Amino acid sequence: MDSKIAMSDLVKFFCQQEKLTIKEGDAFVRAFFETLERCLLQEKVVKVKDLGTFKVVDVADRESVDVNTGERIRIQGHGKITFTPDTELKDKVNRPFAAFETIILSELTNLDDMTRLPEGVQDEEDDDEAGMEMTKVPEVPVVPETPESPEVPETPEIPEAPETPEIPETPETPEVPEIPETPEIPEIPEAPETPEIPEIPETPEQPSIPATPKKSEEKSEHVQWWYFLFFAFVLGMMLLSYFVGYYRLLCPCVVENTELIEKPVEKAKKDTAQAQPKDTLKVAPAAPAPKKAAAPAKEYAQVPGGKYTIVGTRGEHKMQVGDNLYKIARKEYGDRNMAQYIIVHNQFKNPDVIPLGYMVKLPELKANE
Amino acid sequence: MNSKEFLSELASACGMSQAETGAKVKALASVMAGKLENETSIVIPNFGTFEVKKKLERVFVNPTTKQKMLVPPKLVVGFKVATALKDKLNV
Repeated sequence: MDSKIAMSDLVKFFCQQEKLTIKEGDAFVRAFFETLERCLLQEKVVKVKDLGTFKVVDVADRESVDVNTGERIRIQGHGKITFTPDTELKDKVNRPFAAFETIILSELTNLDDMTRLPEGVQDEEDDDEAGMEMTKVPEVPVVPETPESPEVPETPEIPEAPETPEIPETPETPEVPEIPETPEIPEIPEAPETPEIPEIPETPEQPSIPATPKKSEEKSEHVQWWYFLFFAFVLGMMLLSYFVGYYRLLCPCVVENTELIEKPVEKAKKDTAQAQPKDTLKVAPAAPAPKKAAAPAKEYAQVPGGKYTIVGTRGEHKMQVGDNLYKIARKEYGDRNMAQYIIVHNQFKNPDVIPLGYMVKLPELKANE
Repeated sequence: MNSKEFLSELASACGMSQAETGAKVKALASVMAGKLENETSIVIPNFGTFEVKKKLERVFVNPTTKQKMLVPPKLVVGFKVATALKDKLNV
């Protein structure tokens, strides 16, 4: 990698390739560089095919200051030799990085964290440029971007007051980021996690915008904040819906379900299945018929604090597409709230998910005194 | 001085034909290019050093259009003049 070879090594490799004796090769390479030097001193410019161009550049006198003493000194004009590699050589050496291309950056790209790096490089490159003109890309200092960076952290207030009309420094720009975001505003008051948003209608009273000299910067800042708030809102809604789903806040079945006795759900027998639901349809009264005594009721799981006691299985219902337990309860018992008795009787772990074709046992109920 | 003139100078210095010299110069250049490709510096006494330098990527702003561009990293061939030659130049 960082190894160095001297002219003798170069001669050796050259001789290997050209099948010359070391002596011949050495003579040629020596002659090559001597002639190059001589021509350079005579002609100022020497072009060698496949290698590049050597040039003598005159540097004019210039004034400078001695770093140690602070005196003004004069640097004498002198000649300087530069070397510009041939395109072929340049491409060959640059092959590992040949895949990269110059990218045009968009306005919004944040370069704050990059500024330090190019500045460090800049020094090195300036030295190189002084010594030789190799890169053809014109050098422009990256420094002009830095003044923008300190603004970034200190403008957290801006998105809250996007439409402030009283502020003289920013007459029209703040509206621009406002426009694309307005459709979201009606949703925002619902979000419990983003309490700062409801302040938006009151924004005309807020005088708290710091004077920001660069309009474009401010604009992008607005956009960023609006995006941030929007994502926070969406995230909040997602979390909310997750917890609502997890604790089943909207599902009344849950309370009964959690108190179930944990017996595994048995698969209903298929042979008794087909005909019975229809029979029960006719028989089904709103009030259950007390067929058996209260004694056997203990065998069955009961709804705690329920008005009815489950005394047996009255029939079965096969789950079909579009069925749910409320529907069945309403059909069989005339009240959708009776679904909890069905759930308890069948010992469903998850009453929301019942496979198609499952035979749901319909409990025989007896009113408590 | 262009390549042809340089070749004729070199040919007369070596006492070889121009075609022969051209072929040898080409071979020498390819050997040097091969070495430089492996990031090896070539030190020529009393003339200078050829070396490969790594340039980091940087952001470049077009002064007229103010367009920002990201210039990729690259490897470039550098040449450092030997002090002896420098002194000869500034006699």
